Amino acid sequence: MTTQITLHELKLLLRSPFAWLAAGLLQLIFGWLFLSAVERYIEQQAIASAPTGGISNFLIVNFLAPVSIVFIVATPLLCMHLVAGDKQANRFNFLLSLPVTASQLVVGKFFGATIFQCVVLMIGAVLVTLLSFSTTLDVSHLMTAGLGLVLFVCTASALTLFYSSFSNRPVLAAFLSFATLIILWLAAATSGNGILQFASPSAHLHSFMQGLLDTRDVAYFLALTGILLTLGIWRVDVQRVRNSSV
Amino acid sequence: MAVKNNNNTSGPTDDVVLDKPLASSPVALPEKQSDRWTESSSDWIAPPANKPAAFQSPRTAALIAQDLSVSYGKQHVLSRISFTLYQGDTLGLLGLNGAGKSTLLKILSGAMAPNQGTVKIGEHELYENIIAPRMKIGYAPDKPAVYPEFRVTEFLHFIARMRRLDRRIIKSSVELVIDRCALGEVRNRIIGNLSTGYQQRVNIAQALVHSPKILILDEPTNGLDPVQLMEIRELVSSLAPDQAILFSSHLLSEVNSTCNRVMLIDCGRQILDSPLKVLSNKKNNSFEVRLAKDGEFNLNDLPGIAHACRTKAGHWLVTGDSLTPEHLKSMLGSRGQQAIQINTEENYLESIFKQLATPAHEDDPVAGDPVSGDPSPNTTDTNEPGKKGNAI
Repeated sequence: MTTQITLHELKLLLRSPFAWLAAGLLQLIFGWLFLSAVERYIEQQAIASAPTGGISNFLIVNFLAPVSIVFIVATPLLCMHLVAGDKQANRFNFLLSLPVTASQLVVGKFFGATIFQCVVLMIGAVLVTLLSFSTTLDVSHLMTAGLGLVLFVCTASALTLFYSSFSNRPVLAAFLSFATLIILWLAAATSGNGILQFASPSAHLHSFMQGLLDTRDVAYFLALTGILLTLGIWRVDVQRVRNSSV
Repeated sequence: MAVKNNNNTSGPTDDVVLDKPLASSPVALPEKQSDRWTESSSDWIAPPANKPAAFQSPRTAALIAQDLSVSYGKQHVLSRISFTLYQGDTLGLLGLNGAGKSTLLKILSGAMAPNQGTVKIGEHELYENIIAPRMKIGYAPDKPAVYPEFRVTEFLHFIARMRRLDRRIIKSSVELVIDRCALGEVRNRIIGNLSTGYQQRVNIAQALVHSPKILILDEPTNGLDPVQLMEIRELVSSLAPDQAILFSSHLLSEVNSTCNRVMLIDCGRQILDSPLKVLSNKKNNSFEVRLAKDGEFNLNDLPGIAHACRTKAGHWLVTGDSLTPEHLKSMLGSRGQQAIQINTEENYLESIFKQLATPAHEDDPVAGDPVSGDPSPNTTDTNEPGKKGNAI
């Protein structure tokens, strides 16, 4: 059943002009970031001061790291409708009347939205793989950074879904999610080693960008995503079984 | 004709079922009654009461609602609604806008748990088991719950899968329901581009796609033109023998033409629940009675009265199969009551419904419980339905 809901959610996104527009804009931004990164790398190479760490490291700093910031905006916009959209379109009660558990509903929707974003991300990654025809890339470093990005997108999607389950206004869910992600990103950028630094997904993403596959960071993303999904499931369950409008 | 307790789970006869005893009725099913029930596959069979065993034709109880109450803070939306829906029933849920019809249907469809009370479908409690009971329900909300981006067949296939229909029969089930709901000519069109009427048909089709035992339709004729309205009525009528249908409307004519049983709710309270033929006025046997004095006397206690409803102090609407003004007058006389005026009513149900639509009677200091006809003053808090201001 979760698979059915995932496929349905994917179909919905693929039929949404907004999702296509967002995906197109994301590719445009990816292309622009990628080309400017490559251009800068070539310029620096031309003046005989090639950046240390080679092109892979340069791309991660100048292409993949900014892409994570782009997803701070994109994920809330692409996931805001997950539950709130159904509420707004008067479909939510109908969905609750179907023989589907809250976990199947929430997890299915989460996977649908996350897979869509991962596909968008992978299309952007094609740009990087094109470079492998002309130069040698540090594949493991790039893969680690890519994994970090996917985990970040998962967490951001779960956060937006959680907010979406509390509201019947998708825009509000998107705004709350964006605000939370940006505050945590700023906290990671400005604070030292405090609690905010630990709680911030951006801080944990940093080690992935450095090519470090730390299990603590992986566990952080997986745990946070799991907690947010559990809260989302709880919220949907509360609405159906306990008749609460909390 | 006896007046029966709503909690009686035996099969319905032509008796009017009042919710008068609800105020003191137990929440749980009485043990002795539940003992009489036999389980056949997943459904309960309840023999009808008051008939010799040889003539009993058991009817299957498709859904049993017990003491359903919903409140948001101090606002009571539903108050102790109880009834049993049998296979073959087409129950028209009648009430004005805001009476609580949609809330009740949401509860019965499994979308929203009540604050109090239970809904049993087969052997399952609806809110304790998420999967099994919901597979037997088809629910069409008042606003079509469709995905406008999808094509009609695609949407129905999706719903069939969500309703856990066997993969092998999904295609044939979708074809059947498309045929039944006359969606053939729009089957490949995007739902969002369809007219309101067609969207409503898709809404009904999705509720029918898995051939549910219980069909819950929330104002299914909303937004339909007269021709479509007739078609939907015919469709509902054609489904009736195989399914238990719960059909909400604020149109009396619609319920009259489609249903065989009617339940009237107002301000979240059950006003009446009765087979429609009991209330139909074939023999001019409905009357408005004005008593000389208003008191604790309840006309429902009189023999031969199928249903009585107190409209305001000293004023009652009564109906009964062979009721005549003389008979009524003599019965009242024997109980020490004097009827000042007895007027024939054209249509009992319509009269009650008209009273619902009339603003509350400010001049009625002793307005009682309109549900049971109990004339004792209601002293519930001001937010509770059935308070003085809400009395019929």
